[in-house]
Amino acid sequence: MRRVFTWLSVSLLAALALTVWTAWTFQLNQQNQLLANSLEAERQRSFVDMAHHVEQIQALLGKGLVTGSERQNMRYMADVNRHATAAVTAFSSLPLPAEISTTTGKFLQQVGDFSLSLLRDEAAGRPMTEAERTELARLRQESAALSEQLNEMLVQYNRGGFRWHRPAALSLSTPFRRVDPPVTAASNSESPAVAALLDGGWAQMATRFEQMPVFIYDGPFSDHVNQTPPALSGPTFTREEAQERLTSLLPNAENYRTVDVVETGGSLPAYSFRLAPAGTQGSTYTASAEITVQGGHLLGLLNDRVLGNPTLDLERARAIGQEYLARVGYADMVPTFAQIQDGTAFVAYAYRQGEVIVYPDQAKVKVALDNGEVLGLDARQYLTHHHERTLPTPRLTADEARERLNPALQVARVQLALIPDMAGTGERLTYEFQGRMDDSIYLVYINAETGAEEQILQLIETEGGTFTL
Amino acid sequence: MAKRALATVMVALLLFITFPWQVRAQERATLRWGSRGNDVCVAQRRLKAWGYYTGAVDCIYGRLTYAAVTLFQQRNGLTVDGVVGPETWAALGYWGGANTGGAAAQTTSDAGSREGERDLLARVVSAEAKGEPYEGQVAVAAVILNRVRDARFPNTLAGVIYQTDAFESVTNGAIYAPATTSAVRAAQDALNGWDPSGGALFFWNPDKAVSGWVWSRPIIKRIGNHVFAK
Repeated sequence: MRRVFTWLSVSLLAALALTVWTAWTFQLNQQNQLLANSLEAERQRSFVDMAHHVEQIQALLGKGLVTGSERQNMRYMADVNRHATAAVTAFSSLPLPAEISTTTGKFLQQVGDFSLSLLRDEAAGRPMTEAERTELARLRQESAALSEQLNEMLVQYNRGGFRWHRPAALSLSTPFRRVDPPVTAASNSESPAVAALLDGGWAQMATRFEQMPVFIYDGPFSDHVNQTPPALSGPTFTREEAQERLTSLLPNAENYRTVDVVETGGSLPAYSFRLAPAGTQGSTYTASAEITVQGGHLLGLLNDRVLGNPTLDLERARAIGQEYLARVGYADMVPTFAQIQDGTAFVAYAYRQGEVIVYPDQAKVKVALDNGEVLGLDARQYLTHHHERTLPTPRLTADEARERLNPALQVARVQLALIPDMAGTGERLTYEFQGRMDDSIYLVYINAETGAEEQILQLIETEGGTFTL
Repeated sequence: MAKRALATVMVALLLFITFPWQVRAQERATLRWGSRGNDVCVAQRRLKAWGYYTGAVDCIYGRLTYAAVTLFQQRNGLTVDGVVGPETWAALGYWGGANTGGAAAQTTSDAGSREGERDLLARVVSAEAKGEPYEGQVAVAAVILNRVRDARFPNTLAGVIYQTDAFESVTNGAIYAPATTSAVRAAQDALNGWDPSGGALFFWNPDKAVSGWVWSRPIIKRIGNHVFAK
């Protein structure tokens, strides 16, 4: 009798557990399915959106080539820019391997950027050149090919050929299967989405995008913007010479020991020194300093340490930074903006040539507010852009330039400034007006030669200081 | 008797099988010298994986564990007390201790969109470059900002960070943990323009399996466990 009871209770318990488990699993599975569906819907919406925008782009580029009216062309280019921006946004949420996403992304951004640059030229009254027309035709051809490819994929998708996201199907082997992070899933050619892409020829297209000739125009994403390596003065330094140079350049060299030195590539080759406080052991380092191979300039310094209570103010920090810059070989730098950030002062400096502030030649310094130690220096921009310039003499006087301003702007200060142009490829001599309008402070830059308005910046005042937007 | 045992095993098995589906954030105990138990093992394993701990994973908080914990705290800008409390757990990538919410330090100096951007950036740095030297943390933040400026990537900070499959920490949810204080400082330095990566657009850990394609990028520099490339 007792035995029967035991059996009964055990079976009941087992049955109960089985029911609970089944219900639970069922619910989890359903939830999983819902999440997978909404993710799939999100991805596919992005994809259809992208296909739509690319189709529009190729049509609008075509119209832009056909039209004889500049005004009409401006309208088309504005639309191309809008669609390109939207296409990039939609596209970036698709799970694609990096080699496809970076090349296609770049293509789309450049199409948008190029159309904007054409639009700006036409607004300034410069008609399209023959070279630009050829470029436009090439971009139209490529976007038509991309559009065709995307449409083919859409057809495949609608036939059920592939899915962006594969929900985990519940089976006996589920608990033993490794959960692949999507990163590897996407770069894994066995994944159905990727297989479809590769079969469909998008990969070949991506390779073609990558091999496109350098694309030169007046926009921030133009290929040539970051291609000019800076010319540094001075002899080539060996590692030992650089180490010696570093000792004379560090704010307080006796407090540090070198843990490791590595050579850094990139646009400014340098020796990167890893530094630890003197008296410590081991290879842990808390500071790093970079000395350029060419000329032995201090390229960067970054020191991380726990900060004490601030005892210095921003004014003092500005002076410390300026002295340090002069000491390491960057003379004639004037502070342009400063901010207090968590116990440190961050100060940006620009080179001053005569009466002109040269904004491209910028260096930044970070000063600890507890004892005034220089914790950081960044001279990459200065070293990239600085050279002896013969500055043009302004054709307009400050008063003539002021007439170009909106009369509602109450000007507080004016000075000559050399600024990079919108595309970041050239430099313009301007008058910088600082003024107030409707409770906000603005910096307006008027070209000192043509009187054109080059740039407007808004100054944001925060507790720690000001920064520009 | 055999049947009963079988039934028990089956029940146990069924319950076991269901568990992997719901990985829940567990509350971790506060650990100090002399602590024992599974949580000690968890901490030891993590510290060992990141190169701080050299001893055996034995679930006993002893001298070597203490050395590892203090070194970890020192390198990550935490209070160096050898106690694995909420902040240290968070820095180790686990939720722990009594007060789980807002464990790691978040500075609230000046409000505004810039603060929001810094926080987002710091969270990614915290998750992607935990245990890396400070230089490496700034470099990771700089790579993200370089991508914002590059044509091949979306041109907003959120666009770059949340780009599908771009960052493992977004995929596995690690970016939703509060940032470590050193990551916040690193994010700030990168926003201010420091770039120890030398203009890199990619970084990866060469010891982990990564897609072959990234290896075709020209490498600029190695910092800690990461390789940085254009």
